[in-house]
Amino acid sequence: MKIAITSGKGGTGKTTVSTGLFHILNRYLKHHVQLLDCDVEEPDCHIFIKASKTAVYPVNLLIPEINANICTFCGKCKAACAFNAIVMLPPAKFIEVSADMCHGCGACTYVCPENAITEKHKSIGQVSHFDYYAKDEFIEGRMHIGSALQTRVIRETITHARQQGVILFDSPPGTSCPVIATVSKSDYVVMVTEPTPFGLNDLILMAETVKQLGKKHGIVINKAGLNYKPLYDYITQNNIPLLGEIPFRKELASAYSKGEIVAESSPEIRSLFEGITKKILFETSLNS
Amino acid sequence: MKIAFPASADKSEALIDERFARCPFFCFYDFDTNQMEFKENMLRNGAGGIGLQVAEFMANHGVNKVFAVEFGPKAKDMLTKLHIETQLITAGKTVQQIIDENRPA
Repeated sequence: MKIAITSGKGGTGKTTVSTGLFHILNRYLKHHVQLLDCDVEEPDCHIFIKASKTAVYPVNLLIPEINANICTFCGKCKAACAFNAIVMLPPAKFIEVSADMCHGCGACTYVCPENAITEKHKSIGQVSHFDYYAKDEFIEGRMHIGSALQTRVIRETITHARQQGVILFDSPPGTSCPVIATVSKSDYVVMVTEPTPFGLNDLILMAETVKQLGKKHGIVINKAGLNYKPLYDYITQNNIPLLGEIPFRKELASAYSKGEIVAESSPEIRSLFEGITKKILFETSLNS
Repeated sequence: MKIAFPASADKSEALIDERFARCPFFCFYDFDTNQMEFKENMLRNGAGGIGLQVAEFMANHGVNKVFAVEFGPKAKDMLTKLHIETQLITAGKTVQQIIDENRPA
């Protein structure tokens, strides 16, 4: 069972919920669970999940290099490139692939009639494995600074999970390609929102996205108590399961700011997170 | 010497366009022949990598120097590689002003 924790709006509490679910499933419900930090632009689960790093694997892209001495400047590679990565100036015998634009698809190498193209590895990110209570329970995708291909790093991160038990994806925020790369690999989507106009606006975008992807989904409201009624009206009108509400309290923000697992901040909050976790397990009919 | 810069319309009283690679028109001016030419920027609606392709477009048109309010990093690097000089200018000037102010002495 793969569960993606998402939010349209950033800062609603994806990581609070992801790390909370992971901790509760792991420690109290004794499930076999893995946490994958798929927010590869700024992974932050490691701040809360104090685990030891055991292995780092590179995420590589095959970037073509064109030998201008062999190249006949026929232009087939340039025509095949969907990402405008090739610049060609025949009179100057100049041809070059921009490694920043290249997606490593290999189309140019495939169409080159002169075999003028060789492909070289370029590291764009890394996937790290961590031991928490058991081996490789926490896996983090991280993109190198200056790289742009988030989706590639996310897809590779997801392949590192063992296909057993519950797998949690801490998704990037928003509704664009990196989120789709994460959510499309999940069976169930937890949408974290907050009772504010921004929270509702971006929740609607997210809900429309998961509906189009055909994913079962539910909502967790964080910062509950801000009493923004339109959010509750939207949830009722659209019949989306409300999985639980996390109160808006200074103690929770304080625990978070110290890098503590919010779900463990008090017995009351822990039982609240247990409730949310069990409701998700029920929704995904995993309840045993 | 031939220069080029982004223009908001294809006339000499038009203002320079503040976007470089995604402008609607490019103005080309050849100081040797005093010929002015506007070309519609057919690359402007591409998804990405436009700066690189515009740099190639400039080289194909024999441009020696490009003016813009701002250059993207990829466009600037490629223009330099293709031996085309780049110079920043302030926004709000007309096509004619840019030509007059940059005429070689």
